[in-house]
Amino acid sequence: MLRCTDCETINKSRLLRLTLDELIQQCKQQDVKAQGKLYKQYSNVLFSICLRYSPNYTEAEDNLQDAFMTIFAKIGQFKGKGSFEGWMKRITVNTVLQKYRRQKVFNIKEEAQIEQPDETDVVIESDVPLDFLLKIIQELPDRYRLVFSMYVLDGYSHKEIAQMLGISDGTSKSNLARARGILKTKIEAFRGN
Amino acid sequence: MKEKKNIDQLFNERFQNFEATPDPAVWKNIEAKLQDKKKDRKVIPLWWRVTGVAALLALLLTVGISLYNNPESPSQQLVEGDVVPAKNTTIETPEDISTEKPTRNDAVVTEETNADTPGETNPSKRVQQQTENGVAETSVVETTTKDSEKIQHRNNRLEQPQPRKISNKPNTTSKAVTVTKDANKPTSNSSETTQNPLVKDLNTVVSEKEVATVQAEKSNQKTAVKDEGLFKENAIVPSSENDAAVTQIKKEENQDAKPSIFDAIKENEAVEKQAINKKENAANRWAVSPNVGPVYYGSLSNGSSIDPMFADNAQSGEVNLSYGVQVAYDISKKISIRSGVNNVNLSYATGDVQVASAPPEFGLRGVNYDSNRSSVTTVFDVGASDLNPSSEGFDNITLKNTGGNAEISQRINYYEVPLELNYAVLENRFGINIIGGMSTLFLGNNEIVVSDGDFRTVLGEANNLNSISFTTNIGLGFNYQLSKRFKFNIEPMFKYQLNPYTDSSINFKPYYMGVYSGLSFKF
Repeated sequence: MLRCTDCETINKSRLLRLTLDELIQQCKQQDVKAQGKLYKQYSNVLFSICLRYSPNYTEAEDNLQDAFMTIFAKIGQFKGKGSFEGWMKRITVNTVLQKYRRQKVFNIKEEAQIEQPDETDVVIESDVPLDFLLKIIQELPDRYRLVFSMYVLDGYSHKEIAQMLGISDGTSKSNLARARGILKTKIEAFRGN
Repeated sequence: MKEKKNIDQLFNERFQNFEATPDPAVWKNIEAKLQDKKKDRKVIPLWWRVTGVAALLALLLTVGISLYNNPESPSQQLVEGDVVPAKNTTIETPEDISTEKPTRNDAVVTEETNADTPGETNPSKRVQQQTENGVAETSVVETTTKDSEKIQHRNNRLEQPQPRKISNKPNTTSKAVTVTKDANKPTSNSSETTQNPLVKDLNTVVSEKEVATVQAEKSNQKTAVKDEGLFKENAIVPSSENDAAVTQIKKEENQDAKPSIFDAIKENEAVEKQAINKKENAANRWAVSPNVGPVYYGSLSNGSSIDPMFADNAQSGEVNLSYGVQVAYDISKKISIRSGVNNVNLSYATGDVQVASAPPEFGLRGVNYDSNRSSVTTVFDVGASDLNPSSEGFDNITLKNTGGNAEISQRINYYEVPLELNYAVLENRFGINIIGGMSTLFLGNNEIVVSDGDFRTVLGEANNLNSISFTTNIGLGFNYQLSKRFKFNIEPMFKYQLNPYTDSSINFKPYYMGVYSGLSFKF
């Protein structure tokens, strides 16, 4: 009896001390419990990405779901090179990009030909609520939102963005400028109110 | 607190530690999907097994029904053969409608009377025979009434139900006699007068076994008249469908002076059995075999059916599944002809490409794009140098970065109807066959897909596939006899497509190879 309880305690502590590697191994075997743990651990971080890349909350949730499905399906391809979180973030970004990059290609092209706004610094209140900032990002046209999030918030270069979205560097730059302009106007309007 | 800040900096700082908790429903959805997936994985092989079993059951049922129905058909033939002349000539007694019933009796009775005829020259013999026959008839009645119950049962299903039949049982034999006698009617008027008493006599024979001999003697006295008719009857009977059995027995009876009626019945049965066996042998020429196998799609040339620019790209055939059912018919011992229907899935990959969205005029030549779209997803050869966006006329082509391993996959679904000859080289428990023939392919679904890792887009249907095309087939068949009726087959086949494309200039000569395995059932 004693041995058994010992075993249980050992097992429990093992479970508690479950390393990320072990969790990944279990997920590779499509163990739903392990997948749940992984979700618990990373859903907040990945959901924030989805929120920034999606036009609204509902779609962000859909995208998070798709991203996790892809992660669970492809976890076998993760060879342990580099950070697992980074790998998951890339999958999440790719999942969202896939959904929005093909849309409105022509509209954006036309808009891109419109004069580019200046990129001068603006005086804005630093205590603008985060909710508002998220809202105005989500309100951006798909391409602008993607380019802005990728460049400003996730540190992708214009070259990378151009490749990932299947656009040219120039388009990426002009999209970013347009996005900044829209955001600036909205923040100023917010401050004015 | 106001600060002069770059807008990027502001967002960057504010979103640095931004985290949000999704609704718990999201995980529930994911969990449900994951569990579905797990189930799917287990369900697929099970589903295959279930389908297999269902197919086999359906097969057995079909075969079983056809086998069960088969023995009825000869009796029906007898019925037709005998009843038709009877109906034409006899007075339409109400029981007459049920004349199918005594058909067997009919045969037996005819035999007896036939056996009688050659004895014409020897009256004493004839008397003896007749008495024998008289007795025999009663026994015939006994045996045949039992039979007739069975036949009745069958006939009831085939023909309109006759409730009277059962109650009239004792009469039926005499009626049977009537039928045969009546058949003589048109040929001899003289017998007409003697018929009724004869029938009556026979009736009594039937009803009172003890007096059978006496009655038979009585009837025998009248056979002199009857013989004339019987003689002609001999000429008539062979013309009926039942002739084979009857005439054979007749001859045999003629040879052996006095065979007992039991022998005759046995012989009759033997003949019937032979007939049934013959039928079975004939029926065993058919075989049905459900089959399934992997098929590999390839091309004998380098061209591309999707667009000529891909002619020198890496292309590779893919392995898919074909399944269906075949029916074979043995023309001779060695040669059988077969046909059926198969669902064939084929796919072919073209690599070294890059994906782009472009105006429809840049679309692939072989793809049927949705004509309403102002921009289409298209694919270019990786080496295409004229895609520099800065060069004139190409500024509205945007390349998509999909990961660098993009490939086009063409998937075609055909319904194949083969017509093949099968020649048996070796026919032991293990058999070897050479198979040759052709197939007609009816185009089902087809699509051209471009994919790269996560990225996957259906470009559209191919616009150059023939809706009906043909293949020439050649292959080997190996089979192993599992039981008398079941054989396990494995058949490597090579099928070369003759006219898959509407455009004959396409230098793409596809073929497909499959290794079909299946179980064949003879019936």
